[in-house]
Amino acid sequence: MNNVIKYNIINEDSLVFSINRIYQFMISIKIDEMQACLIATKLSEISRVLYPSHRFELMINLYNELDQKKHLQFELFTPEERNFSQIHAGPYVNLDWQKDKVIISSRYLDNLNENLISQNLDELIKKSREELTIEIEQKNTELNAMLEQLKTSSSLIQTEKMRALGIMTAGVAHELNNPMMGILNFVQYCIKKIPPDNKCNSVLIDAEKEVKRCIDIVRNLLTFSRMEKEGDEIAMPTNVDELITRVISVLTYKIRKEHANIIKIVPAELPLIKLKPHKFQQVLLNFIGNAIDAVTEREIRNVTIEALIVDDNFILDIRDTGCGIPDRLKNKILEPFFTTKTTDKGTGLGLPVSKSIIEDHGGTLVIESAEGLGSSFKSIIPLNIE
Amino acid sequence: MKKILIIDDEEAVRKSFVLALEDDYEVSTADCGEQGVEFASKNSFDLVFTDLKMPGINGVEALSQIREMGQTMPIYIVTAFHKEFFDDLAIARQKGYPFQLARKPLGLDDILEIANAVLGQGE
Repeated sequence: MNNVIKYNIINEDSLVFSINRIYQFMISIKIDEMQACLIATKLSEISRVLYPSHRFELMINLYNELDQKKHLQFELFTPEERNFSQIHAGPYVNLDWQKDKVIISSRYLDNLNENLISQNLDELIKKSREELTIEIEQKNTELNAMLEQLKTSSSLIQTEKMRALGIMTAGVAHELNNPMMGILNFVQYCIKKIPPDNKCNSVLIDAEKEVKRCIDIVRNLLTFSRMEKEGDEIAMPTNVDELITRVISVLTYKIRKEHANIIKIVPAELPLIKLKPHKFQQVLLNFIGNAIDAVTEREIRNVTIEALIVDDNFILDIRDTGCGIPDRLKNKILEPFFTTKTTDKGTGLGLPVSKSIIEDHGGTLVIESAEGLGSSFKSIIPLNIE
Repeated sequence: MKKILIIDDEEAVRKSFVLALEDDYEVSTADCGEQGVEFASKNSFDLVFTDLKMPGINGVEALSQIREMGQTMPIYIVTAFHKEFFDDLAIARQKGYPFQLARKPLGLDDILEIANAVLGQGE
C-alpha cells in the first residue's frame, strides 16, 4: 500500500511548499515522454484536468478549496488514462485535506505494465536529490581530474620552457666567451701600453672591470643552465669560519659604503663541514651581498651570519634587518632574471644560482621574511654529502 | 726567441694571444686545425695553444696529429669547458698524448704567465 506523508498547512508558505512538492513530483513522472497530468477531482464533481504547466491554476484552485475547507482528492493520470473508471488504477497523488493538515499520498506507475511501485513522495524527491548529488559529485571529480591534468601539463610546459631557456642561454653564453676574451685582452693591452698618468688609463681600467663582470655573469649563466660542469668541484672538509671571513673581506668596500653591521656567530667548536668550497663561497657572496643591499638606509643595519649544527644538518643562516620581502614577491625572487635592483647592482641570477648550488649539496634553501622587519636565508645542508 | 703557435678559429682570440706574447716571443697563428698541423710540421715550435672546438678537425685531433709527427713540445688546449668536450678530452687521454688544459676566457697576464712558466722566461 501507499506510504503517507503529512504536511501541516498552517499558513500560505506551507501550502505553497506542498504545491511545489506536488509539482516536482508531477514533472518527474514521464511515461512514454508524455507528462502525467494531475486531475483535480472532488468526490462528487467532474474533474478538472490540470497539466503540470497549470501549476498556478492549481494553486489558485487549492486556495479556493482551502478557503472553503472542502475535501479534495487529486489523481494523477497519463494523458491516455483520463478515464475516471480507472481512477484508482493509474498513478495518482492524493491530497487529503483535513482540518489543519493535508495528507499527501501517491502511487506511481513507472511503466504501463502495471507494476505498482509504492513511492513515498518524500522518498522520491529524496531519491532524485540523491541521484542529482551523486551526479554532481561525479562531475566534480571529473572536473578536479581535468584541473589536475591542466596543472600538470602547464607545469610540464613550464619545465620544458625552462629547459629550452637553459639550452639557449648555454649556447649564447658559450658564444660570448670568445669575444669577451678578445675585449678583455684588448683592454688589458691598452692599459699596459698607455702611460699611467693618461686619463684613458682609468677609463680602460673601468672597462676591464666591466668586462670581467660580463665574464662572471656568463659563468653564472652557464652554471645555472647546468650545461657546464666547471670541472665538477669535489666536496671537502671546509673551515666555514675562514670561508665566511674571506667573503666578508671581499665585501669590505660594500659593507663600509652601506654602513652595515656584520655580526658573525660561529661557534668555536664548529667542525670542518664537507662542502664544495668554491661553489659555496658563491652562495655566501650572494646572500651576504643581498643582505647588505637590504639594510641600506635602514635605521638598524644588522647583517647576521650564523653557522650551526642541528641534528644531522649544517645550517648557515644569513639574516638582515631590511624591509623584508613583500608577500607577492616571495615566489618571484627565485625566478631567473627577476630583480628589484638597478642594473649595476644585480643580474637577477644570484638567487637561482645559489639555490641550485645548495641543492647540488643535497640541501634546501629556506627563505623567511617579515615585511618591515627583515629576511632570513637559511641553507640547510646534510652533514654527510657525497 | 722562443716560438709559440696559436691555433684558433676566432680572430679575437688569436689577436689576444698575439698581444699578450708578441713582446717576448715569436708568435704564429693558424685559423684552423689543419693549418695548425701544417705549420707545426714545417717549423719547430716551443709551445702550442690550441682551441678545442673548431670547424674541420678539432683540437684533440690536431694535438694527435702533431704528436704523431714526433713533436713533444707542450700543447695547451684552451677551452671554455663545455660539457660535451669532456668526451673529446677523454679520447686524448686514452691515446696517451700529453697535453695541458687552460680555461677560457684568459686575460693578458694569464696568457703570459703560462708561457713564461712553461718556457722559463720572465723569471
